[in-house]
Amino acid sequence: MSFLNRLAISRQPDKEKIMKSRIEIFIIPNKIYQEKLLEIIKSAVQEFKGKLLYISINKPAEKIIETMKKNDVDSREIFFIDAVSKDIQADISDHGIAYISSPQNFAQFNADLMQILEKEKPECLIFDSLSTILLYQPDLVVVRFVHDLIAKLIVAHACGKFTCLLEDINSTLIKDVSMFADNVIDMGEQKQEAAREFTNKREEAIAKLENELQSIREAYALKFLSEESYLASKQRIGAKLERLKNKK
Amino acid sequence: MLRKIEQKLDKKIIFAGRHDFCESVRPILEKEGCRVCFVNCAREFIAMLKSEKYDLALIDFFMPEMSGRELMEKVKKAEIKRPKFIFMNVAHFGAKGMEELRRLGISGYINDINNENLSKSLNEIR
Repeated sequence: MSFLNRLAISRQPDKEKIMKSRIEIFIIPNKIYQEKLLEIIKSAVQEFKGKLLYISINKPAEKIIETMKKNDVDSREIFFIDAVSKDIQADISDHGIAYISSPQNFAQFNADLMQILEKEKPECLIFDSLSTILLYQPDLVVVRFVHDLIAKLIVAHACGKFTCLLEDINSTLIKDVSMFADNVIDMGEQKQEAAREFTNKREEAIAKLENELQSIREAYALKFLSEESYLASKQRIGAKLERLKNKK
Repeated sequence: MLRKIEQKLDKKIIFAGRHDFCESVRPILEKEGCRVCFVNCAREFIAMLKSEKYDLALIDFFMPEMSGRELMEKVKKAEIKRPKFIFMNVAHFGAKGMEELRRLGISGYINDINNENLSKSLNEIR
């Protein structure tokens, strides 16, 4: 057996490990970022109850918790790492939230994060977001950092969910980091797909109602329907059609 | 002793990456009888691949100025298909990454650099 074949085989972990160590990158358009982020959190909370770690370098943890509460997501199931508030509000501590240095002080941020990962041993980590970390450090530094973080998650058989903005899809960071991921999910495309599905369903419903209206007209013309029933049905279907046609 | 000398490789390897990293790998390769050329920029790497024949190209994925992926994009653009390319210093590529490796023409990757896995890799080109 050749070296490369042996190498390829040695790089295939067993199925259980693959299932556990799923690394995903979510590409989200800026316009729908918060909405989609909530969807990701919601599904992760259901899947990894109590073993979920959320790293925010975007917004203070308290703001995220507030948004989650408004949207009926149980934030008590999540351990938060807040890399935004420490510089603003020193020496604060809260249950379920760890405040660490911002990525501006990258060495400290990295050290703090790794220490928490060692201690908390999460089954899933949500990283919000790759686009924000790009504001603080050059692409290649971040690529190395994300690679090391992913390697750590894989060793621990944990999952990783990394978010980034669709607007950064052509950056070196996203192209390189995508290589370490098992799945890259374009949530902009998902939305377009949902919109297409919605349009198709609406068109189907309109066609069905128009057929129904035509049948009623024919039934009335053949005197199978009284004028009163015909007008009532026509009005009912007409109103439905108008509602559907105005829906966007 | 004579037999040992006979077993040594007489292969030319080009190494693209950080100087300190190359210097840590060089003794292992030279012990195997390989001649190692070192480059740390894409232009030089491509020029050398075009001008000379190498048996193996080892690429540090985390190069100083660009990633291994970016370097291989340039190699692909220059339509250089030989020698065998191997990424070094990477612990994991996901399913998406494996697809990308195939597209870029990368034969494999090695993370921890030690005598054993480098020797295995060299045996492949023997």
